[in-house]
Amino acid sequence: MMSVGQEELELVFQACLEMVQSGRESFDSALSHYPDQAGAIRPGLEALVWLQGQVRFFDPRPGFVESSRRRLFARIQQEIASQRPLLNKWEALLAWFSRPKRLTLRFILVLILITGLVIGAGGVVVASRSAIPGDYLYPMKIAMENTQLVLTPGSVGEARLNIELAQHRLVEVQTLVLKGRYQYIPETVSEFERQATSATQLLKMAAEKGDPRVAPLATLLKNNLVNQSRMLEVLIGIIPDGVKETFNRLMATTQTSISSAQDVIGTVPTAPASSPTSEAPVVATPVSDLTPTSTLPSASTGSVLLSPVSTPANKSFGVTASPSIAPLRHPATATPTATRIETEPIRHTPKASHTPRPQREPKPTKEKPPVRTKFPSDLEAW
Amino acid sequence: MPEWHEADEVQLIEQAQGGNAEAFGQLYERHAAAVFRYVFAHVDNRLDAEDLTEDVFLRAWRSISKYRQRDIPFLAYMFRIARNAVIDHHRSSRRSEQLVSLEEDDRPDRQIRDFRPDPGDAAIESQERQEMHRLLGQLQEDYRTVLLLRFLSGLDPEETALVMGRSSGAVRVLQHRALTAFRKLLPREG
Repeated sequence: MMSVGQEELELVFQACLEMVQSGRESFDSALSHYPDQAGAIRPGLEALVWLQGQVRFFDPRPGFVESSRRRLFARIQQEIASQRPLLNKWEALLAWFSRPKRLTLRFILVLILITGLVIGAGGVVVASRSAIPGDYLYPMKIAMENTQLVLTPGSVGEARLNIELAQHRLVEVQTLVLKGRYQYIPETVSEFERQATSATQLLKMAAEKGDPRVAPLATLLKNNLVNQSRMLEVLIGIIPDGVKETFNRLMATTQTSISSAQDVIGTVPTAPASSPTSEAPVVATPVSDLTPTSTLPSASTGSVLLSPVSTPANKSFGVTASPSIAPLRHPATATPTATRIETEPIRHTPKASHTPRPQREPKPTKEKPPVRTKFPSDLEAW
Repeated sequence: MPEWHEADEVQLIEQAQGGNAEAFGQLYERHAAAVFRYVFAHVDNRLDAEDLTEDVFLRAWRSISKYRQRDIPFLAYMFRIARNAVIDHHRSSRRSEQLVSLEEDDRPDRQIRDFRPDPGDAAIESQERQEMHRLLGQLQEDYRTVLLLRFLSGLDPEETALVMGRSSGAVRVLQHRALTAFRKLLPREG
């Protein structure tokens, strides 16, 4: 820390230095202003004067600034031309990435990037399957469905896909009701109408050509719609009045589609023996006793269980079970049904080699209880 | 007193930051002499000083987009670069001299380099400058720096303070001490 005397001396020296530096006063006249401090500041000022006399020896030679400016300008222009400044981080990253001697690193990074993309995209696709209208991933689900539709060959394949999609829409409507997202229902219903109409029209077209694959699909469509109709009838009681009109429209479309499917079933022959869906043993059931009780997952695979139940529900829809025989994927589930059949069972035996083992006649005294599948809630009593 | 104004300088700096090499050329004309003197006081021949001065401005051009005028005056910014350039120059010179001494200490080209006179300079000028180099070389580093910046390159105390990373008050005290110490090295007759 400076003392007061030292501080004063510094101020005096500074004042004298400025006088001499600016040329306002000579060395001696500057010192004469401060006779008390003159002795202390004289050596410093003498050195300053000597230094000022030396500056000229360090000046650049004449013409140096001009000539070197031209050289500098040329070097700058060269740099600008050869090394354009990077515009952003992406460009810098690209430049770093494209340097030579980094082939291995580049390969590894690309591999990591592709793996990440594949895993990420796969995860998103899987997650989008359970999305419903209003979810972030729902547009992706719809896009995937549209892609499927575009890529599906043939009208029968397209009909099958439309049946599945219509089924998805109905399930979505039910979920929307349960979650209270009523605002998305009209849009989903419109989509259902479009897909159900497409499915029935495509089935009719294929039926006119006598395609034997039509019958099981029409049955599938009809059974799906019948089942979903029951759920819709339950749900219509809990929805707000504002949605009821849309719901009624949905019910009407469902009934129309059921009738159309029924018409198709009546006009085409049953599926040929070679059809994969008819490979399982199927047992006929009297029409009056049949009620389709397909569950959602099995419906999409074409497996329909015909249960000998006649409920008021299906009567209220004016539904009559199909005279054609729907295939059973699991013969065991059909066993109890078969026990109650009075008429002659019809067995589909496509090929000799595939003839199913004859079903064992159940013991009359000890009847096996029927195997339960997942039923709509109003069929639980059965 | 400079012929140009601060406002012009701010405009030129902004243009140079936008990639205008011509504007940077004008900045070069304004400050090249001061930078040259500072550099020349640190190296032993004029050609090296000229190359180094150009190098200082080229470094400034490369980094001018990062320069912020509110942080430091442009001249002080230039002298920071010049200071670093001089340090780098001495490092590389030491390395090359060490390499030479390891190979051939009495090589003729080394002899030529050490004692080669500047071709464009008068002999007296050269002697005066060498005497100055010798005297400055006897001072401690911060004394030498403050004398060169303040009295050879003509920076004011505030600019010198920014280059040296000290307060302007500390620079005023330092310059007084440096001048007093320097006077002791000069011949008595003044």
